Amino acid sequence: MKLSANDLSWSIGGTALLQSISFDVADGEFFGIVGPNGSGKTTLMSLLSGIRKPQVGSVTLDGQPLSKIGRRDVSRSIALVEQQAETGERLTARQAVELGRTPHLGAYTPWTQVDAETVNRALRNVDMDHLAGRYWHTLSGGERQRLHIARALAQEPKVLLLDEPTNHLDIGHQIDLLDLVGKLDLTVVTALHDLNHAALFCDRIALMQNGSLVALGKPSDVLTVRCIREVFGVEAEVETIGHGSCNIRFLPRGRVDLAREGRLRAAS
Amino acid sequence: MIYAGRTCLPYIRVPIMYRCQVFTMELVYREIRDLAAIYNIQDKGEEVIADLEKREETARAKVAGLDGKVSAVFWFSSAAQSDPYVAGKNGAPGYIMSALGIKNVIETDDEWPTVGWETIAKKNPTVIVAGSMERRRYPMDSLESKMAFLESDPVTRLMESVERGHVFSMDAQAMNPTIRTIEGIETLATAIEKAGLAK
Amino acid sequence: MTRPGSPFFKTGMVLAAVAVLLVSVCMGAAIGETAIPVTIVGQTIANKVWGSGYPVVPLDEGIVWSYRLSRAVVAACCGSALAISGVVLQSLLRNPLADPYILGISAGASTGAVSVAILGLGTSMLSLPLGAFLGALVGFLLISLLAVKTGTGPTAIILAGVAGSQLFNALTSFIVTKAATAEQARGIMFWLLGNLSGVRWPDAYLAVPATLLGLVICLWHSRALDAFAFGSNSAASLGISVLRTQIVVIGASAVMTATMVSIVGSIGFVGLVIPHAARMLVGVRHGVLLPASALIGAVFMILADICSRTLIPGQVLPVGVVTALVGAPVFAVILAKKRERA
Repeated sequence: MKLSANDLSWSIGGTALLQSISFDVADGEFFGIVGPNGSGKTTLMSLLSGIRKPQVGSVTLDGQPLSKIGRRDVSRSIALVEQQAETGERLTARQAVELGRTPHLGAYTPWTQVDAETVNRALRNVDMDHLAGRYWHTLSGGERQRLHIARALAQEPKVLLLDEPTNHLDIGHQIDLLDLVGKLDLTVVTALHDLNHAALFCDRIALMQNGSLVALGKPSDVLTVRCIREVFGVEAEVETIGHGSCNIRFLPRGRVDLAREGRLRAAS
Repeated sequence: MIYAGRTCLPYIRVPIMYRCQVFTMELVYREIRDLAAIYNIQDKGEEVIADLEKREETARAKVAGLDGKVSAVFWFSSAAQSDPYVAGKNGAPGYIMSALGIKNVIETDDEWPTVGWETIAKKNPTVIVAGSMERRRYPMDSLESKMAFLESDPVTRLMESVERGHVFSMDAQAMNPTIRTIEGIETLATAIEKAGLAK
Repeated sequence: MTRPGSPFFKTGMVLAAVAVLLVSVCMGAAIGETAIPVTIVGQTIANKVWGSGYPVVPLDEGIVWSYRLSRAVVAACCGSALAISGVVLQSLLRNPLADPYILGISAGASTGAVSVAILGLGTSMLSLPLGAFLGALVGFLLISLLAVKTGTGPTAIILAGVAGSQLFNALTSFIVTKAATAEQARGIMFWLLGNLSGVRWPDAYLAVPATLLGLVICLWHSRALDAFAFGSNSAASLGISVLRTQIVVIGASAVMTATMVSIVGSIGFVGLVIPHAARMLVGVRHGVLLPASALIGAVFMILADICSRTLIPGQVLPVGVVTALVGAPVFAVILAKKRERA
């Protein structure tokens, strides 16, 4: 399914949080959105998922604007994992993931084996099936994050939207998750804060700053030294790897570039 | 909250009026004597008391033969259709009833307890004394609404006193501990005599 | 979420629940201010329900049927309605302290009732409940408008409810202070605390459909209510029409509660505590939580009414006092148990 943002704008109280954002996400693409805090990533994600209606512009799914598609149909195609979602209820991990079947069940459609299987599969995919019976409040932040993703997977969406999914996860789980999501036959749009992860996993990246789209393209084209300096205010070295990917090495601020100095001295 | 006499229980949040000392007209007569003494018209005071005592005697004579065969409940008012405020033992109505030899079906010490109609109906008082008053704050203040309730309610209309028409009205002022209590005694005695219950 | 076991289990549970309810209602008919033998109670019910001709004293028959049974039925409806409202409000407002009166229903009803009773707006006996009902709805609508104006989200709604309720309560106090005598103050307080005494069968004819309708509407939305576990954004991304669900469910709960308050006054603690007790017993799935809360609420209210009539021999306590006396310690125990588990 092709997800497109067409000239999206959003402002609150006179401040523009998003200005004229347009891009297309191809079917099956792993699309990353990066940018510093306050660049509008979360707002953009809420517009892409259909939770908020854009004030200007539209979001289309295979050409159809989301506003014309019913809420339930949208959620059968698009699943969103928010940055922060907490509950005060006494849910088990399994019950939290079972909520993901809601779009597929009517008010009184009975629960079937298919639903149970989907939930089990989702739990296995995020490596949480051994903790399925535990209560939510006894789980760690990382475990809860994985359950949020399992719930989104249980929705069996065509498009998966993830808002900074790797927060709270240790590095092993971060890589596992992005790996898993990348292998799924889904279109994935994810906001990421780690530029190296974005570079490693994403087919294309959109770089945002202050609500505007400042660059769009393959990681190696977008994450240039100049872009990183101008948008993030940090010095870096970028090493291109094949397939449009790259590896970014950040340089500590205020200190002389020791490594570079070392290489120059070695060379001379 | 109004207290009369001594209170024997500390005030608690649900407002109830307690009276531990039984009310008698002696308390009123004492007040009259005190007032007369203040204005130095003691003989006038004694006149008033004598007159009241005589009225009480006359009323008692009318119902001399009763001796506990007749029972009664005094009904002041109710908030909407809920449980009525009826007279307990120790207030002015208690005095009226004991003066005339009538048994009060309500046996608590509270001055105006809230008692359910179920309890009252089962106790089957011979007579119901319904308070009439000018004020219209509760829907059941008016005598008409009290009578209408007694006749239409599925349980109270089965009570002996309602079926036989032994529901007497009394000015609500007379149900209070004042000089007008004597009036209450007179009203009730007359009503009982007229209803032929005094034999 | 998975359903426990087979259809047989479910049917069995439903039958058991209905049996418990019927037994409680019969207890309400059998136990009261005065002692009436159980055999007479049984005979009365048999006479009235399927016309068997047992000889029963008309007074006893009237007490059991017109007083006690109708009161037990209304008590059950009231307990259920308040419990159901408590559940849905706690879920939608995501606040464990939400109760059915949080959106101004009780406060508005009190103002409506005192306006009728004390200011004498309308004088027939019917108008007290009607005044309370209208007051409740007016209070609810005004507070809803205030909530919408102050912004979206559960906190805004709760703040509007608190502010609005305070306003209506102040109005009530003002009217009571200015116009009422001590007698009236006592009477209104009795009403405000909740009172099942004046209940007769016509009230039941109103209470039963209102409660059943409210239960059905809320049950229909049980999956939607489940989806609110992680917030309204999460619910939206799961395909729930957030605004429509909130309006329909909160509206149904408001009408159900307003009906009950107009019949019996505001009975507190039931809507707050029963949902928590039910959650501890049956879990958080609304498909089970709602009927369980309704049942527990019904039984609790019937028992509370029995206690209010039998605790002090020869006198009647306001039933709101009993629910508070039981509800407060039970709530404390529930909180303590929650802390233990957490």
